[in-house]
Amino acid sequence: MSNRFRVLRAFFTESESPLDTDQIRTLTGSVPDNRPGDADMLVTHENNIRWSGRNLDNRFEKSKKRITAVYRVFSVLAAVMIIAVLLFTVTDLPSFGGVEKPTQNEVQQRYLEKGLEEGGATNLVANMILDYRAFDTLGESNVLFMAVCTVILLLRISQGDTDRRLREENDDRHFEPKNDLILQTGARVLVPVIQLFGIYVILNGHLGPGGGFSGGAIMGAGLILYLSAFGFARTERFFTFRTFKTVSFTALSFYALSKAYSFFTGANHLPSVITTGTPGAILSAGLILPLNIAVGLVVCCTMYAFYTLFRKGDM
Amino acid sequence: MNLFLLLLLLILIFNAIAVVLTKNLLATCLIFMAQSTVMVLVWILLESPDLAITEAAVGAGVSSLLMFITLKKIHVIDEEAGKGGGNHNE
Amino acid sequence: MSWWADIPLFSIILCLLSAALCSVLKARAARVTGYTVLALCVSGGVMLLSGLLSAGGSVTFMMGHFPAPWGNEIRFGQLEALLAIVFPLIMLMSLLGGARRMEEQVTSFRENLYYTVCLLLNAALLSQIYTNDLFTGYVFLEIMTLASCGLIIARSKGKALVSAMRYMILNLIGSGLFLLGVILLYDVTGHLLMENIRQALEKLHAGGEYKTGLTVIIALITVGLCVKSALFPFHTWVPDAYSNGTPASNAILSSLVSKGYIVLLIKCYCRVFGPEVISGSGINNLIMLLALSGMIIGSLDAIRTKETGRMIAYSSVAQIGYIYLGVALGSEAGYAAAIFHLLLHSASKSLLFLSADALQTVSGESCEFGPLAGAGRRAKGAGVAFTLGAFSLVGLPFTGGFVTKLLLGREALNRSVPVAVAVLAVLVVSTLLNILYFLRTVILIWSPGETVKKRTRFGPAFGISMIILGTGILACFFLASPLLDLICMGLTNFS
Repeated sequence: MSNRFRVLRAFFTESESPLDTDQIRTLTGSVPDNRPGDADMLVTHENNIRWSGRNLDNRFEKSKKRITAVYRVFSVLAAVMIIAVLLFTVTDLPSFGGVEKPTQNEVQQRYLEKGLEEGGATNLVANMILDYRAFDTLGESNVLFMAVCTVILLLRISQGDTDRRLREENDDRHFEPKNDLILQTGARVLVPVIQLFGIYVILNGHLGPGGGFSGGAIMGAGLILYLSAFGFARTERFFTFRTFKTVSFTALSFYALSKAYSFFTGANHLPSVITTGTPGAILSAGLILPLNIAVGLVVCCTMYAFYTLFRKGDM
Repeated sequence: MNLFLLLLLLILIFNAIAVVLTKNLLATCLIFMAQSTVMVLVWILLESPDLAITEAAVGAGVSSLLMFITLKKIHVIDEEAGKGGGNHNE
Repeated sequence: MSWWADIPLFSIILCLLSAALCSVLKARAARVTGYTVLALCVSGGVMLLSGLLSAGGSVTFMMGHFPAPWGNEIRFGQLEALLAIVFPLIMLMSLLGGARRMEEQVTSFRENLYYTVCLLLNAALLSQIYTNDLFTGYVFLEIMTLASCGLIIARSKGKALVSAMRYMILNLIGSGLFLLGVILLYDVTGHLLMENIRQALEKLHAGGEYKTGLTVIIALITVGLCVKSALFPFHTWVPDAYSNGTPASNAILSSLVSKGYIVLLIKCYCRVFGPEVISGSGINNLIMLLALSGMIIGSLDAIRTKETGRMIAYSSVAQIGYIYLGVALGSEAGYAAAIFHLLLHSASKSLLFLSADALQTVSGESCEFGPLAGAGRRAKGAGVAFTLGAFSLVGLPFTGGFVTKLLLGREALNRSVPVAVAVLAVLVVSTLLNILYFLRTVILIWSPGETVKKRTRFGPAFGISMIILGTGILACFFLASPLLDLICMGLTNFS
């Protein structure tokens, strides 16, 4: 069992045996860590109770049981209290869908009435998230990028550690047949359709429901299906870590630069060269189509990256 | 329509409670996936197709898939049929 | 609009771009990029502050072609510019001070991602400082949560992973509560831009509608941000998270991340809710109670612990109690004291973590107190820095902490008698407790101990960071008056 995942397992299940010094040392991967005091860590799921690496005796058992019972009662009480308070608040709030609600105000009116001419997209939601409130969406794309960077920091195995990589790869396909006929036949039919549909959703994000995020997730799911059916060797022929880095970097930089131009011209009341075009055409709505493509590519690479990092620790 | 929406919302509440109380980790992930699928229907009934497509692709798709991979990596899903579905959820 | 008004937009975009760039570069190039971009952000902040001081007032900047309430906006005055100078500066000094440990604790193929994480954290901090929109605040709050977990995870050690997991779960609970508050606020007012929310809330407050709803909303937003910034009962994740990363991560987390959340909270109180709604809801009493308890209990926990890193982390809990005491006092002087202590604590805490790491290096890499005896004599620069940081947090005269306690005490005297007595008593007791554990360590490191055979070279980067952070702490005292005037002027333009 991979050592890194042993820590996860110990965290989520009740573990009586401490992580001993050797196990903790090997968790560091290729970097040995000499700090004493690591072996004194017994990982349990109880809140902030740290036990030493000694064996538990009866006294510890009894007090542990008592603390667990108190903890359970208090957590149920806290959850019930929060639920009660929130339910009571909801009854106090404006009712759902009424006409004189506070949210039916001038903000919503302008989005609905002038959204098409100011943004250019027939999908008013795309207008709102990529034109009126584009700064939030820029932040959200970076949230996704941040998540992938954290997962790479956590899970990626170094290139020099080849025997550990081989072990992870073999460990991963331990119980599965190498070439599953049903999966491969299904994938041969489904993957092209899924990818086409994903591309369609991205490109038509400004004309119908969908957009960058959904289309990117669909394409990512298609890639994951291809990988599951045909294995890493065939997928790495066209999608490596380098591909991932290049695509993410290009898409995110394009997003940041184009939005910087848009914000700069907007705030300084300068005219912008980007036109909104004729509504309903595929090449319209200003920057919304290129931004959808950029976001879609980032999301597709991110979903695929999560899957391969979880399975193999590398791409 | 209203009755259908009410039924779906009740299923959501039931799923949420079931996720916490189930002892079998594999079953928990499946219930989570079912929760996302029911949410897709709720979004459609609330007339937001963008959210429905995204929830279907991300929630019922990739997110649940990542949970299954995690379960496999921490060896909760073992190959013997008797032990299938693994450790306790406490 | 003058040329310096574009600086906030460009600093945020520059940080985002260079974060993406660092993910494709090698370790050394990423390091240079990180340092350069942070230095550019600091100089941009200086230019912005000088422009704002000459122009006066605050500037609202439309992010896009549409004004509020339809489009996004950022807004900056003197206070935001001051924070935009201090936060990137402290991040840069933390990275420089921890650069020595980077090769041994963060493997080289991960080092470029470390700088990506730091630059995204910087972009998120700048956006929190400048934002005029509640939902943008939430989005960048998410980036800060993930980035801080990334900072802890970067150190490849078992303990770091467990503390990062605990940190992430509690932080996500906090984010969830904050988001719930923002959603309910949108439901009640119909706006997401801060000033529009304020106008709508004034009407509701005058009409007396949604009283319970407003109280719950204020409680949700407050508790959400308090969980993330380690106020007293929500501080259990602090000792693990703040002491198990690389020294640079510890410094950045304890001095910058929690402060970003506190700045957002102050912004919500001043700009979204306004003083009448806040004092009407009574949240100030709750925060004062929690802050006073945190000041005592944080110090008590720091006295009991046996490891240096955890002691410094627990003292963070106590110091954040001071900042929240300033927020709870509610008036302009209270907020000024809170922000002054925020700046001082950022500088002192990073100085403490970096110098403690250096002292541990010359004492055989032990976490505990015993081997630290005489460490100050073995590494004089680090010893002096640790002493200065400890003195400033205790509040001895000639350091900035003294000014904070003076301000807080003076403001408490303007309140009713029981409140004033409680605050002054707790200030005195917590100062005594601080003296107990900080001076104990300071005396320990300067007592005679074994001398080291060969001197450890700490490198110029470490020296630069010590000098600049130490100068900052001293400047908080000697330049206290102009600094406080600047903060007060910024606060009048803040709301």
